Amino acid sequence: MIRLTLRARPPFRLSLDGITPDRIARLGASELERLPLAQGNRRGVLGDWFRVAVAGDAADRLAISGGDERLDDVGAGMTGGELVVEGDVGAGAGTAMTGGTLRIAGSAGYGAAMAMRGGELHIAGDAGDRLGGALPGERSGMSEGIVVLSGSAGSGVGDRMRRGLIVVAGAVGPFSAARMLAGTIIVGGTVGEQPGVAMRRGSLVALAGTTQPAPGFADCGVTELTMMRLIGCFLARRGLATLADRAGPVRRRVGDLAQGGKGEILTPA
Amino acid sequence: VILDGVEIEDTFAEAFGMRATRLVVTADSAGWARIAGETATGFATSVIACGAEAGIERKLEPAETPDGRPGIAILLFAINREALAKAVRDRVGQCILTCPGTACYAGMSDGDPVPLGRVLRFFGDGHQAAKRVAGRRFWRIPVMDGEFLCEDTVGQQKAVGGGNFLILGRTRAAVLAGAERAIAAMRTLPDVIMPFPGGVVRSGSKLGSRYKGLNASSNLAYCPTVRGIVATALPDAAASVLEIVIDGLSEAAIAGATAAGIRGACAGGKGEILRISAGNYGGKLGAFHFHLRKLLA
Repeated sequence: MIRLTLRARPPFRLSLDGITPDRIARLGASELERLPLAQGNRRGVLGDWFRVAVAGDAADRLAISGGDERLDDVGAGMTGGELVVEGDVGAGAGTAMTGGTLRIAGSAGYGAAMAMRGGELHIAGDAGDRLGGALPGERSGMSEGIVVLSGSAGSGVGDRMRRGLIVVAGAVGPFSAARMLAGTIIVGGTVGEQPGVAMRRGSLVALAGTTQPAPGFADCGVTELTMMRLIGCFLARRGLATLADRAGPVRRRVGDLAQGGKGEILTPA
Repeated sequence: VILDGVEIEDTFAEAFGMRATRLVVTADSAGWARIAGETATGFATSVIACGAEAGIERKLEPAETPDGRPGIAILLFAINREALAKAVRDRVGQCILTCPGTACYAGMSDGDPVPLGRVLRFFGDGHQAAKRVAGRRFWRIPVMDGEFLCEDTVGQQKAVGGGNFLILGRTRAAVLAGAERAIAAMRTLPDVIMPFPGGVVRSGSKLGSRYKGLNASSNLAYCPTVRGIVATALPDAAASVLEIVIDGLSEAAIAGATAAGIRGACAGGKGEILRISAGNYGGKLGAFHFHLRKLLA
C-alpha cells in the first residue's frame, strides 16, 4: 500500500490528477516523490506537499492522510484499485474514473464523479454541486458506475447523467436530475426545487418526497414497481438497508414532457 | 450387480449434446412463482414435438432472488442456440409475462446470450424503458397490474439431454412407487431437470416405425402386453416399466442424478423392483454414454 500524508495545508489548490493507485502501483517512494503535481498555477512534484510511504502489501491500494478541501481531482481518471482519502477533498473527485473504488472519509467539493464512466465512489460526508454531472461543454455526464453519498449534495445532482446509480442518503439541492439522459438517482432526504427539469429518461427516486410538483411531469398514480424492490435489494446488499427499507409503493410522475417524457420521478405514496 | 436386491443391468444410457439456459422467475408469493414456472415449463417434455425440454430446477427463497421475492429456477433445453432462443422468447412471452406479478431474470450469464427482455420489450408499444442495476440491464414493460420486469438477455451453455434409466418391476403400483422415490431423490439435485410428467415417462420410444413419416414408435421390447409376440426385454416376472429422462447442464450432473435416482428407486423395492436398465441406440447416435454399473460403483 502507498500512503501519502499531506505535510501542511497548502496556500493554493493542488491537483492530484494522475495520482491514482492503478498508475503508481509499481513505483518506489523516491519515484513517487518526483511525480508531477500541479500547485496553483505552478508545477512541482508530489514530494513538495506529501510525505510518501510504501508498504509491501496491496500494491493497488493508495491512502491519502490529511485530506483538505484544496485537494482537487482526487482519483480523477482512475481505472482500478482502491484509493482512500482520510479527510476532505476539493473539486472533481473521481472525475472520469472508469474503475476501482474511491472512498472519501470526509466531504467532496464541486463536481465529484463528473463524467464518471465506471467504478465506485463513496463519500462519507457531503458533496458540492453537479455530483455526477457533465464536464463543461460535454453533452452527457456520468455514464456508468455507482456513487454513494452518505451526506447531502448541492445543486444539479446527475445533471445530463447518462447511466449509472447515484445514491444520496441526505438532501439534494435544486435542479437534481436536470437534463438527465438516463440512469438512476435515489435521494433519502429532501429534494430541492425544479427536480428533473428537461429530463429525457431515467429515474429520480425521492424517498422523502419532493417539495413541489415538478412542472412538465404527468401524474401516473400510485404503483408498486418490482424495479424498486430490485434496487432495494441491491442497496441492502451494499449495506444501505435504511434506504432499501423505504422502497415501497410509489407515486410515478412521468416527464419531462417537453423532452419526450420518458423519465420519471418516484415519490413514496 | 445387485443393489438393494435389484439387478442393475450391464448397459448404458445414451445422451445428446444440447443447449440450455436457466431463468429465475419471481412473483408476489411462492405459489404464483410456482404457477409461472409450471406454466412456462408445460408442454416441454421432448424436443421432438415441443421444441424444447424444460422443467423446474428448484424453488428459490427470497434471499436468493434479485428482487427479494419468492422465486423459482427453471431450466430450458433445446437442440441448438436458435431453438433455445425461440423457446425462451415464446415461453417467457406467453407464460411469464402474462402471469400476475412476475419478474424474469437471467439465471446464468455465460456464453453467447439469447435475447429475453430485448425481444419482449416491444410489447410495451413504445412505453417500455430500460434500467441498469448493478451492471445488469432490465426492461420495464407496462402491463395491466403494473410493470413486467425482465432481464435484457440470458446466458446459455452446452448441456446434455436424454440421460435415462428404466425401472422394471413386478406390478404397475410398485414401479410407480419406485419412480416416485427416484424423482424425490433427484429433485434435490442442482443443474438437472426431469422434463416428463412428474419426471416420469411411461411411453419409452425406439427409433423408427413401420409407418412412413413416423420417426419414433413405442419401445415394444419393454411393453408387457405384447411380450409374447415381439422380441421382449422383460424378465418373466415384470409387468410394468417406467423410464426417467434427465436433462442436465453437465455430464457430471446427469451422472449424479442417475445414480441418486437409481438408488432411490431400488431402496425398499426389494422383491417388487426387478431390474434397472437404460435406453440407448447402440451407442452411435449420442455423444454421452452413462454406464449404469460405473455410475453406481
